[in-house]
Amino acid sequence: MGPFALLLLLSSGEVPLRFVDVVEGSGVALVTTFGTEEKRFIIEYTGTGAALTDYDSDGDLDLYLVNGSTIELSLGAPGAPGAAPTDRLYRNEGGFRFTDVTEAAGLGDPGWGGGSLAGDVDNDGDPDLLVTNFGSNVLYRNNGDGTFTEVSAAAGLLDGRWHSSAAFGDLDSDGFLDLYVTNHAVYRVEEPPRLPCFWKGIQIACGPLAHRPETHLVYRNRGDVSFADVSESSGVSSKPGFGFGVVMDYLDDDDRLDVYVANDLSGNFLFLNRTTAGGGIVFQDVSALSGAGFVEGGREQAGMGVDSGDFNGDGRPDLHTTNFSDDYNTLYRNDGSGLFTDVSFESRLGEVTLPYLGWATAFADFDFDSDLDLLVVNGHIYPEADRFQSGTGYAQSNLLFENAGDGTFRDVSARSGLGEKRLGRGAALGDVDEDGDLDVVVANMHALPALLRNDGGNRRSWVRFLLVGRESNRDGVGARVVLEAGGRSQTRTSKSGGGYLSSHDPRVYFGLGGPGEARMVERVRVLWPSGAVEVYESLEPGKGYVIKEGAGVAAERP
Amino acid sequence: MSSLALVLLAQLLTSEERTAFEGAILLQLASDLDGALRGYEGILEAHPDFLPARLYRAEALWLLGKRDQAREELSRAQGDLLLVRILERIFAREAESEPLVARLSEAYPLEQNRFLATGTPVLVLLSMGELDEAIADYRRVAPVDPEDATLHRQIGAAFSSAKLFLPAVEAFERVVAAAPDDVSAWRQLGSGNLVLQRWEPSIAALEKAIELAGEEAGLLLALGYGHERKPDTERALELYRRAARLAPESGRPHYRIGRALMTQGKLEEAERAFTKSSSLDPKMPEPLGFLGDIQLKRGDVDLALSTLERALQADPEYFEAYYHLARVYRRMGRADEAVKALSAYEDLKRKKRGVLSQEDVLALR
Repeated sequence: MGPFALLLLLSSGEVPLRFVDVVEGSGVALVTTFGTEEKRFIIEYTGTGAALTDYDSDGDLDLYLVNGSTIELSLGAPGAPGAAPTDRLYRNEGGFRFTDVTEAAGLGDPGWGGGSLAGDVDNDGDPDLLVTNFGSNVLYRNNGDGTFTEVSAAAGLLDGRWHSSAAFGDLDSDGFLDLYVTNHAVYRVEEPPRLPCFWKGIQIACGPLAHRPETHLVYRNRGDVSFADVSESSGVSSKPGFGFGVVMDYLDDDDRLDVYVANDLSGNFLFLNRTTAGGGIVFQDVSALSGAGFVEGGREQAGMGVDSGDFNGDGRPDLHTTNFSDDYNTLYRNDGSGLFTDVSFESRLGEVTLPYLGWATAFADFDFDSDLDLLVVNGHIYPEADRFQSGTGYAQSNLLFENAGDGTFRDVSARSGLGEKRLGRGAALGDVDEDGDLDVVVANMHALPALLRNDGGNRRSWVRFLLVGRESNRDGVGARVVLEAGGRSQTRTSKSGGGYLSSHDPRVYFGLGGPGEARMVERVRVLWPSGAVEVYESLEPGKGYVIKEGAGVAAERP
Repeated sequence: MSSLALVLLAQLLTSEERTAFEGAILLQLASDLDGALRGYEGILEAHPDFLPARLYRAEALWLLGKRDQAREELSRAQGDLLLVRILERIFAREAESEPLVARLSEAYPLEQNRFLATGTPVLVLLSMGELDEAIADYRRVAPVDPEDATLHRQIGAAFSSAKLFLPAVEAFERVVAAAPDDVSAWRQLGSGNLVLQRWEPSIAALEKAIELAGEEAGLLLALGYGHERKPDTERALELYRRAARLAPESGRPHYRIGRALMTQGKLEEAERAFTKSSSLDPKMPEPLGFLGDIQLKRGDVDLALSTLERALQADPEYFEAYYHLARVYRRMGRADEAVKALSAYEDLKRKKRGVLSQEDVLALR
């Protein structure tokens, strides 16, 4: 963008979205391993995620990056090259500078990693860390002194299947974070499928349909750093699916967190939470009838990532899923009562996404104009995509859609610094440099992550809230925050885990700009998972606040 | 003919005859094709059933450009050689039969390729459902005579019929290289690439077909679909509208117009296109399915219900209509009917997808 155009935009009140990759020199040095570059098997396709979490409670976001592995290492093949790749934890030193503290923190899982999820499992005030693997998941309990202790076995989380994304949420309203883990396919490294599989006439490593879909996992938090596997009693395990992304949000207008899962070629799941007080976690499967399980006349898409967010300002969380190339990413408008309508094309999100294979996606107000924009991370799975006129490419650029405020989105990717083509998979959002706006970490396959610094998002006013539960879970996950400012009302849910294999900044962000920029937050209403409702008025913009359940609001940095 | 007979066939000759036969082969390898032909014919006078000599003779004729004679010669031996091919495949699956396979291969070193060059085994193998074998055979033989448009056209059509679109496209690429004015081949190349979801090559081939044949509704629709999926929806719409003008009685162009308009998010215009499509072709369920979906989107559940019922009258197995119908009933609060419609959708889809999945597998090879 030339200086004249920039001046024109600024004079019109429009703030251009702009991201700059600052990974070089940041100290983040993990080039992820994920099978071979040739991609011989499905297990080598799916990539990794990232978590932004303040593990040392020093007030800024640290970065946990998941690493994969190789078939040879998984098989314990003699002479497998090099040591097992491990996940890495980077401590935020400020100004996008990081120090690798993996070993000092007692982390460094060598499993074939996929996702990472931060959450205060034991309500002790610091984030614990769950790593999802191909193979057993790993739970690290935060010791509160900058170190972690692995407690997977004692926590009851050992399960040898192929796990994808995970989300925490208090599904039974007992004040502790329960857990949903998506699983992908029944797969044994020792016995990969021998079928010839084809894409556009070219032989490729077989996708999910050459495998059996896996059932998913629901764990109830017992409150003592252990979990009970309630997959069967909750009704979830009766329905297998090639699970990837998962999100928990209020999808049918009641006060119980529901679960939505993006499944690859097996129809997406919408599980409405029907848990009653004192009862076990129970879901009702309304996937097909909700309108959010399929598209068109009941066609399954290849669901990858998912996020929820109120894009149209009606107070209800809508859903966005990413899909395979030659298909569109899908925006499901929440019509209330657990009913959804596919508005992808009407919202201008459909056509432009057709050539892309999307993974992570996130609703966020990147330019603080009081509505939710949309990020999509892309990258194909077939290296063969570059070998002929496939209509797509192996490495792909990411997409950024600016909410136009009228139910439609504008593709602003090209001018936003997202043009570089990579094999993107997971993404974590958060204010890494503490300048108020939302930066993005993208986990790329066989490459460094992209550390995308948001330059200019904070030109408009904003406000954010760190929620601390007391009767509710300590992280306040599942709290709904309704903000009124400048004549507008915005609703956000505090979520744990999101997009694809990743975990975002736990703070809840609001932009206050746009037409009639708000000078003051008139009113904030917090609907805690415990049922408590608190209202705060006349908050000054441009800063973060900590809202403690039952104890009022205070500036994040007094 | 038994497998044993086939093996013995190579051993029929006396030592002198074998020497003469090998001498003829050497002449052929030295490009003395006439000399080689005389040698083969001498053998065949004494042993008219000695297949290798017949086939080497066919090869020599082929190399001399006497292709009709070569084909005639080969056609007389096809049954036997096909048997050899089948036996080879059967034996190759049994490790203990390796010596036999080796002996067969030794006995017929070149003739199989010559035989394959007729394209007959590919066609026979296709008819037998031996798809992988057919593709492998075609790829082995294709370089022998890449410019034989007739051969590749015939095989390409057979692959298309068998929904093996990649080898079909390979065959038609050879046809258009050898016969660049062959409209039918360009058309087939375009539609094959469409099925393979290779949008750019399909667009190029269909544009060439239109250049040669002039505008036809079918070609314009196919070309439009390539653009729609590329995606260049604006161009697709332009082509679909031209198709609609050329085929004013057909509902299909208006259906495609509706789909493209939906992709552009223009639901009101899409609704008009689907309505037009349905009025022209009431037996086509797809426009009614999408029409019902649009009516449901804008909240007109009663109208959506009647539209979807019409879709099912047009095609009771159109499972997509049941899916929409289930959602309509759900929105109307008619839970039992919603569940029933959903169940019908699932049953029909399973049934139809069972068939489709086989086709899909074939299409993707």
